[in-house]
Amino acid sequence: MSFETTRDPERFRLLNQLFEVLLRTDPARWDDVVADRAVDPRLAAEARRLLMLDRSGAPDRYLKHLVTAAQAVVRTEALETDGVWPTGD
Amino acid sequence: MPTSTNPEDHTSRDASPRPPAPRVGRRRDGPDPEVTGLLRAWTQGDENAVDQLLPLVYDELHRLAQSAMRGEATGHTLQTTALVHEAYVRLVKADLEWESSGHFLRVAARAMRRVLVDHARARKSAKRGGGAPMLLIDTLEGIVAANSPPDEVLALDEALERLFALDERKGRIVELCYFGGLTYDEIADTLDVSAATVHRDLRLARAWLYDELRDDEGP
Repeated sequence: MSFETTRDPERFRLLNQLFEVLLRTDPARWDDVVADRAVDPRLAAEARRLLMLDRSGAPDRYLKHLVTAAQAVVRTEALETDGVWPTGD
Repeated sequence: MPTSTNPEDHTSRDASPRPPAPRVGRRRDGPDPEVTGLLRAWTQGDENAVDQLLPLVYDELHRLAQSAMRGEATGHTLQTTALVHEAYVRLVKADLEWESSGHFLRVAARAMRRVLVDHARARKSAKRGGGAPMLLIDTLEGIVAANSPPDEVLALDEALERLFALDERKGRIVELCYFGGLTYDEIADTLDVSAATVHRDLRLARAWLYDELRDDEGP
């Protein structure tokens, strides 16, 4: 579950800041970075989770999948409009 | 201008499930003076111009999308990037300096997002009303559509609105990348930032969106 970053721009800004620092850091040193900066543990956990998601490639695949699905709806409706598909009338 | 079709409106939801009908009598065979005039006004600082510009670009993209899909063989998917660039050529051609082109691409990505979301909303409404036709699913895209109900597309739209509220640049980058089909370099030019910044912003933005959408699925 997303932390307060879902609604709070300041928390999101801090999340972004930490995410970018960790992005440039060897994962083996993430604990050190978080400790050095005295980051809120929940914020650190969220940054780590998002970094792992990013590394998995799943977010990119999912967004492409959803946009493709939306495009398919346009296609389906265009075909229906043209009478190629049965309209059920 | 009909406010219910304003694609720039981040908060309102169109009460009508159907996209607006294309405007009759629009000029199709050259630069649209209304579009180019509004782009110039926006480039010169008139932020109100975008409100008038979006419905015009929406109409053109919607018309092009319908036309492209009717003319293509089964299995063809909507080429978002091609449509956005075709709309640019049709409406603007080479009448404007690059800065205005960047403005156009921002509007076009927003308009393309609205086209796709409005169709998803209409499809959802049709299903709810029991009026949905029986469709034969014999293509990969049909299977994708069947497994990705319009709800998910609408959830993405809403999550993207939340991202805009938290960090407008990241929201815009997602919109330009996924709905406008622009490359990192094109996005960088359009927003006047580096391609590295685009890539960095995108990594957090899409991971955050994915996390939001998973949350929306509930337990």
